Amino acid sequence: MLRDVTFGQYYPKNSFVHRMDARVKILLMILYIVTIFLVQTYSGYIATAFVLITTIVVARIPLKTVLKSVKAVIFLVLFTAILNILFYQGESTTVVFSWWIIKVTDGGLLFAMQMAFRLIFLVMGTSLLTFTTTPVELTDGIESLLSPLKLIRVPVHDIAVIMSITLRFIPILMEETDKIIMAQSSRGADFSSGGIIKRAKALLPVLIPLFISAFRRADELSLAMDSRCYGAPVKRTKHKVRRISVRDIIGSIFYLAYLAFIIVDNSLLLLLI
Amino acid sequence: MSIVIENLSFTYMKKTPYEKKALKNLSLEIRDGEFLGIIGSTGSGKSTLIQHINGLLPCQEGKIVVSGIDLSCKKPDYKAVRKKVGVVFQYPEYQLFDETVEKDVGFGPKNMGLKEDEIKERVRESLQLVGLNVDEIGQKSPFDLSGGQKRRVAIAGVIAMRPEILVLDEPTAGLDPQGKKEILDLVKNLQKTCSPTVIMISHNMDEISDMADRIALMHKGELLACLTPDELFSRKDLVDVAGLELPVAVSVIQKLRDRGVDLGQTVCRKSELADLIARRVKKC
Ligand SMILES: Nc1ncnc2c1ncn2[C@@H]1O[C@H](COP(=O)(O)OP(=O)(O)OP(=O)(O)O)[C@@H](O)[C@H]1O
Ligand SMILES: [Mg+2]
Repeated sequence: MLRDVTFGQYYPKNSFVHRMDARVKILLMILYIVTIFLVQTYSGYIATAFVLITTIVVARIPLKTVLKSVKAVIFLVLFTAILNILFYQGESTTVVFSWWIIKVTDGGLLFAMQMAFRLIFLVMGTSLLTFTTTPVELTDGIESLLSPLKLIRVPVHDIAVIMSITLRFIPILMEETDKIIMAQSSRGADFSSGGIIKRAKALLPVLIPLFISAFRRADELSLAMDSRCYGAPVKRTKHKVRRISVRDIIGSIFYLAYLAFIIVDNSLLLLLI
Repeated sequence: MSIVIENLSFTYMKKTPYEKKALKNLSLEIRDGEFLGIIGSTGSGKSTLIQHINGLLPCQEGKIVVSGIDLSCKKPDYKAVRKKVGVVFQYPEYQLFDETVEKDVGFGPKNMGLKEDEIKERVRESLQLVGLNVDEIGQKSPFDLSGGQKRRVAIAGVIAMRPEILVLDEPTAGLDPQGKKEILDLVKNLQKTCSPTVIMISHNMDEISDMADRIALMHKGELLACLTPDELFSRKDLVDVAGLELPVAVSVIQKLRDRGVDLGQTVCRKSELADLIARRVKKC
């Protein structure tokens, strides 16, 4: 079933993190990404893990679900780790193992491990944004963050509308596809056997009705928008006005504290050397 | 042979936060030659149920046997069951796709592996059954037809496979009264001529109690009852739980009773109501 692949990966819950403002969450995510690349010490990694796990717990999302998003990049993580182990020596060069041009050093091992953790933390952190924010809130947030670009005549609002309509229609079209596939299979259509050409041809009875319905929907939608004067030269207001709340401030403080800790930690490291 | 459903349960999107139990422990037997109506409010699981009958949804829990074909075993014979059970989905006209009406109606028979001339014969026959003429519209694009005609063509596409069991999901949705009547007459006619067993979902109580031998009442994924229309609508408890609208005849009988005239029995068909009243008036 197509709809079984839940669209996007929003995980419905009514947690502290879910109710935070999307704009704040986007900014905090950027802050988090930047901070991760500053981390250099073990205590830094522990702090990152702490921040991440706290956020997951507060968002009330099962750890298993978050780890699933890591599965998608596990190949990349392993690949970089192996390359790092084999070909990067790092500063300290106590050779652990050597053969031909390959020289594995403890510095290399350390670096590989750090990179791997960095990637995993990165993916887990960014996926938390999409787990806790609906696509509509995300586009709204992006629109609001990009609104300064209006000054240089970028049609930010139109772009946001296009984005949200697209997002809105993806599940509808998926549902429609499902229905059409069912109808054609009950007329004996076979989508799973035969060679590539036969299978591609078998898709026609699904694609044609799907396109027709997509065009019909687009037509209806544009009529509906027109009849409500979309594009009239007045300033549009928001249906849901989003305000920064205490929640957002607490979240921001938490992440700023994390950044501060990493910076202090790094400068301590410099002092020691 | 009949359809036997035992303790069927179905959950959409199992093991995700969107999990939705759509059928709960449902048991039902549909006899040969029967006209079964299915009613129930939106989201009560009617469509989910009929999608099980020809194996469009896999049997997760429980048992379904359709005309001797077991759909609950490990590898059900979907091909065979789809030949026996023809499903006309809601708004079937949105599934038309081919260049010409003739080709579109012939899609099912072609998938069954019939020969060219046999397909032609079946297309002619099915179009005739739904009241259309292959010589007139056979070469037209299905997208050039009127709404009612499109729906007929779509139905023809299903009966061209000559199913023993015809399943219709709200076949009258979105049609005008005249179009509705035509489709209902067509369904009655199809039961006589080609598919002896009919299962029909409807939201119109008059329509369904007029046509069905028995009505299955669904509510939140459960089967509340499967009774004849007269029995069902005289059960006030069921009507209230499911929040059913009443057929016109039944509500007239109730209003008469409120005003002190008890006709003594509940009937769903207007003609029977007229008989009851006539008898009563003559007695006075
Ligand atoms: N593909 C699907 N994925 C997830 N949930 C679904 C899916 N199809 C149906 N549902 C849910 O299952 C329940 C039963 O749906 P179903 O379509 O069987 O209802 P119905 O009785 O046919 O309603 P209607 O009268 O509106 O056609 C509903 O709550 C619906 O939201
Ligand atoms: Mg339905």
